[in-house]
Amino acid sequence: MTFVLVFLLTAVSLALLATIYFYLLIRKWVNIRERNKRKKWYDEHSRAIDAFLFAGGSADSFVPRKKHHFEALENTFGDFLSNVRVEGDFSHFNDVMERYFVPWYREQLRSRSWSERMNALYFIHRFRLASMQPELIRHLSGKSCSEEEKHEIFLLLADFGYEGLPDLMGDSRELPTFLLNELMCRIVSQDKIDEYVERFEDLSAPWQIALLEAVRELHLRTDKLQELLERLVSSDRPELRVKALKTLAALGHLSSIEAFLNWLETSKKSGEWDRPRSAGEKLMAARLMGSIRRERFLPYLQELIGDSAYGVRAEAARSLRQYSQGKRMLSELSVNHPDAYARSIAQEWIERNPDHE
Amino acid sequence: MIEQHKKSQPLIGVANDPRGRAVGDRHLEPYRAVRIDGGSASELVARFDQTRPDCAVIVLESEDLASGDFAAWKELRQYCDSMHIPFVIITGAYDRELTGMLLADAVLRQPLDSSELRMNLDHLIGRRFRILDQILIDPATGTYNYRYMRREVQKQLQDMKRSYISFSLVYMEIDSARRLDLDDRRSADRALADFIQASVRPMDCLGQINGRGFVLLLPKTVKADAIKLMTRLTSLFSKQMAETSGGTRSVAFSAKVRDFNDPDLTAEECLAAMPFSEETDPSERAGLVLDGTLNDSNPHTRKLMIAVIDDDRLIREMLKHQLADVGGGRFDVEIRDFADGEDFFNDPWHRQNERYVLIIDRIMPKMDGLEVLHRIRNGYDRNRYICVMLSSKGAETDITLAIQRGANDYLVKPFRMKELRARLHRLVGGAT
Amino acid sequence: MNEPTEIIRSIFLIVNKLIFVYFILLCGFYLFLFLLSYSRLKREWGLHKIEPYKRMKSSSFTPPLSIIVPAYNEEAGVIGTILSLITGSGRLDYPEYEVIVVNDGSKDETLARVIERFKMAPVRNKVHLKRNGIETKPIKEVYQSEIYPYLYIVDKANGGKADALNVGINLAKYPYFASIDGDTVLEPDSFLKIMKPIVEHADDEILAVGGNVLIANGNRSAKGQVQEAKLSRKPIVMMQSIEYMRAFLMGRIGLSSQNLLLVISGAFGVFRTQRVIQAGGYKADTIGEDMELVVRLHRLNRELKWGARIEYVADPICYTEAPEALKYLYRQRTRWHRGLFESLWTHRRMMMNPKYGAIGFVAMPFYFFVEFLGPLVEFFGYATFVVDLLLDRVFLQYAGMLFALMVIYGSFLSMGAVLLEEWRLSKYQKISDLNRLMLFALSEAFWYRPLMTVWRVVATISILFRRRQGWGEMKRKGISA
Repeated sequence: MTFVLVFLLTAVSLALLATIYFYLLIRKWVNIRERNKRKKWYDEHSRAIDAFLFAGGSADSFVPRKKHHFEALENTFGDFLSNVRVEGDFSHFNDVMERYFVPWYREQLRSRSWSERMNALYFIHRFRLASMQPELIRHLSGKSCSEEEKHEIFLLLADFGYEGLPDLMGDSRELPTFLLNELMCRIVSQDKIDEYVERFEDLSAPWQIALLEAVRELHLRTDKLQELLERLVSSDRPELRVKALKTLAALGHLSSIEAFLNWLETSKKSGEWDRPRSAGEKLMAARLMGSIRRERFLPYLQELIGDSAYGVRAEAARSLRQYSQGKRMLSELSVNHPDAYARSIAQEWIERNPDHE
Repeated sequence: MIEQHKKSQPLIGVANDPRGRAVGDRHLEPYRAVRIDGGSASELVARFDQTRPDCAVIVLESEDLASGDFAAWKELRQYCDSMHIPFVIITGAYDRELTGMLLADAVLRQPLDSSELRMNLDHLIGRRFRILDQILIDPATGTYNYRYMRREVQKQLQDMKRSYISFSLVYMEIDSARRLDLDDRRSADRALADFIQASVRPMDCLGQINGRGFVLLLPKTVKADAIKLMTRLTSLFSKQMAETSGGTRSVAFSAKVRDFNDPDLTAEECLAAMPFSEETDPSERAGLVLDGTLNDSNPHTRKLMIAVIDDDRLIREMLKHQLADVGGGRFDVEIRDFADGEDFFNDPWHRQNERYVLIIDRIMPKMDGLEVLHRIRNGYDRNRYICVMLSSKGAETDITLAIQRGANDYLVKPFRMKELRARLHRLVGGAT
Repeated sequence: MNEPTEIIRSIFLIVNKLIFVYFILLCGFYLFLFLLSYSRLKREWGLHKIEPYKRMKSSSFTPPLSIIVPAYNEEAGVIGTILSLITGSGRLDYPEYEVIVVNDGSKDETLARVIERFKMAPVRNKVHLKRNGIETKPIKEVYQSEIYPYLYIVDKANGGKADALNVGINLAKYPYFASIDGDTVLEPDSFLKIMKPIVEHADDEILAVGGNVLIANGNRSAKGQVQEAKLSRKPIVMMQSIEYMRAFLMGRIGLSSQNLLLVISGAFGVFRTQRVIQAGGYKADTIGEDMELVVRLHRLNRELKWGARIEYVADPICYTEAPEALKYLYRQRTRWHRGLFESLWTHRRMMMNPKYGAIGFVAMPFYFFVEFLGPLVEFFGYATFVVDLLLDRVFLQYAGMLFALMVIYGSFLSMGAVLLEEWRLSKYQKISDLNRLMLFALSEAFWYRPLMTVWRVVATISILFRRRQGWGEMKRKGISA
């Protein structure tokens, strides 16, 4: 009995394999044909396409109609756009995109295959088809919209400057940090930052962190922002403290040295800084004291260079190097500091250049 | 016989009374001599200024000696001294005191021996010419003379062959110079010279080239900046009041500015192009600053080699098309494209003695943009090869790295075509 | 029939049945993994190859990466490898990284060639002494390239691959590091691909990521980049390609989706620097140091409650050189088998231990009973099959069934893997290549698999007698022309 079953099993598997094999064979043949068609069509029109891209020639000779036309053009245009920013002098390009590609992508967005929809979104992004915003918003509320699609659409809307974005995002689940950071970078700007600063407390925790990251990345500076950052240094959430210090170090300005010094003293005395988990905080504080150079910071840096965490020591040494007397101070420390690791890291940073590392 | 120096000027014979004049006439006849009758010191100096003689021959008679008023002669003597004009006295009576005070170059006693006179004159004039050959200062204004200016311009042209940095020349003249009397003119000139020399950099030099106006050499300066400078200076100068015989009034000067960037020109050509042309009416000039290149025809074009090194065919094609006319017609552009750094270095095209602009993609297979940059900066003339990097890496450290390694400019993709063109334009020293 | 014969017959029948059941279970399990893989791959199948990575490439929030390349006597291929890491195509290269080559006391010109080609100069005073770093053999000198300031080479006394990697880890300054073999060839987008899970799941901590490894023999490559994917004509190499396809497509993707992956290929893997340092780095005197580290990371993950994952990327991400001669293949497989055993033995405490969750109950047993002991059972299977043929009809039936099962297990599954790979990638242009692969896959059960089984049985036995071996010298052809 089992013998027959096994025999059947073998036969079935063989048949299955054969079917898949032939299916793949056919598919391969079809793919090769598609690829050839694509290549042929592209080669036929490559002069016209080049002329269109470089010199603003007409696009009438290569109007895309079939799928492989679009695919051929997508690759070329995509490449082109990653190199050259299309602006006023390339307006003919935008016309062509609007006329032909928008309807195509509208159709693709309705496809049942996830990957086709994602591809459409990627290219809408690359070609900056801002006129498709209404469709995108509609798509968000569609039932087949996956998480990845939602994320991509958020990014798209942020890039296009859609005002109602924060509301749209509000009721969706936790977004990955990478996405939040990218979104924030697109949403905030020098003009809008103060609004967000005022609403800071109302933002959820991940948004607050993302906002700080964006500020640092975009080098935004306003008075209100500065005030907020300096206030956050003494926040009771360690994550916020670290990020605030990091941002302040990148921006390079402290309105009150006294307040900062007080905070340093308090943190030291409270024993908070003896815990290994505050290495990140100490590191950022050291970085800040290198970005803003004051004589009164020196004793703290000299202490941090002997810290138990390598990262803190390295950052303190790097910061010391940036002082005008940096090399000399490091030389002294490399000889006189009681801790061997501190001496070693001081020695290293005498030669290294803090600008390029 | 008398040496006829190339730029020889007549002699001047001065005599106060008829007898002296007769003496002067008789002896100075073989020479081209201009006779001046005596006069006040300023009159004499004015005539001398006008005539610019090679020698002054003064005939002094006993009456002059007796009058004892040497102030005028002394002034004349000082003038001749400053202009390196030999001062010869012919006198009958020998008064040690007199001649001693005047410190003439030669004192000849009457009766005059022609050959003695000739020997002295030849010697003194010869010495004058030797001195003039050596000095670089124009005695009248205290600025540099033509020879010095020519030498300086030549140096600039030599430099330009290597560094492609242009320089500017400015020609200046006091306005309504012809209407001022000589004294005023001279003091105006001197005031202008002093003013200019106080207002410019140590590397700039001011000189006299044709007796009417000044030429100012501004190294490392493009025309636009020179024009700005002169506009400022003309308005400042005209605010100054000057003492003239007609009372205190303001004096102005006009300027004509040209810049030069063709090292194949000669210094003489450059300087000759400077003075105001006949077309401008002198009476209309009042604090005017002219652009001197507007009437140029046929500007000289230089060759420019552009190399595009990028592994992306699209970019190569596009840049080949878009950069063919960089420099706005002042350059004869030759563009080549290469798929990678190795192709570029293996092709002898890149080693010609011309000027190159390399547009290098930062990230490429086989030989990275950084490596191309390294090789160019470590083996080729830095001035002749301009390097612009294109890349999608926008991180600050990466940009600092490329610039530290010698890239002249760095553009992050996606870049604007207009921006690339503008930057290239500036880098090749395009006209603004 | 006398009693002893009866008893022997019954025992033998039971043996047959056991082996039969074993194979059925095995096939079923693999089929299950197969389906898991397929469902995961199907979704991403049509996705564009480039666009999804462009954002990662241009974002400043993509975490920077330290790439560590241990090199021992690699003078033929090391330049090519380094070039493949530091140059690129401009399209999909990783935004921020550093490359640390560790010259593990090579006796050939490896160090000199690298120094000359990349204009490297000694870096004075670079700290290689971290308080909580990993202990390694002493370092002689650290060099930095004058052309590429993010390229370093460390010269040290010979200490083995694990020690070399640890030196690199100590020097690495970025939160993640990638460990590469000296002869691995990467694509420009390999790093973006392998870091994708880390970027996408930034909220889950990811300890390590592994990826698909392909065979490079037969590919034409120039200066460190793979130019053309061609199939090698050598049977040994083709069989290895098929083996790799099978292992990656079925085993690893399936297991990793449940955070049960215990092996990341030493050819290319990314790890979280801080955690590896915390775990003590690679173990120096062990053979399968890649696997041992991963197992140790899983262990600490449970013990210290990190709550982290180890991920796997299905996209092919690197190429490695496969041994072309039987002799070297034998050494490699023996080494792997011993490494497998050592890793399992070192962490035997985790086996069937509820404290370690699914790792203890599923992964470890799987690796032990299937990967390690499997060859023994298979060997018994062959022996049983042969004996069955000599006996009567009952056993002949079993012989038939065993034969069928072994063909399914050995060949059909491999053919399925080849087809899966073809479905996913459509890599080979010529249909004849696909045919050739299928034929060889079909033949696997008849010669290749038995050969591997015998070798691994020999290895198992020798393990029990504790003989040691080193890295093994494999004649390096060098990948780049």
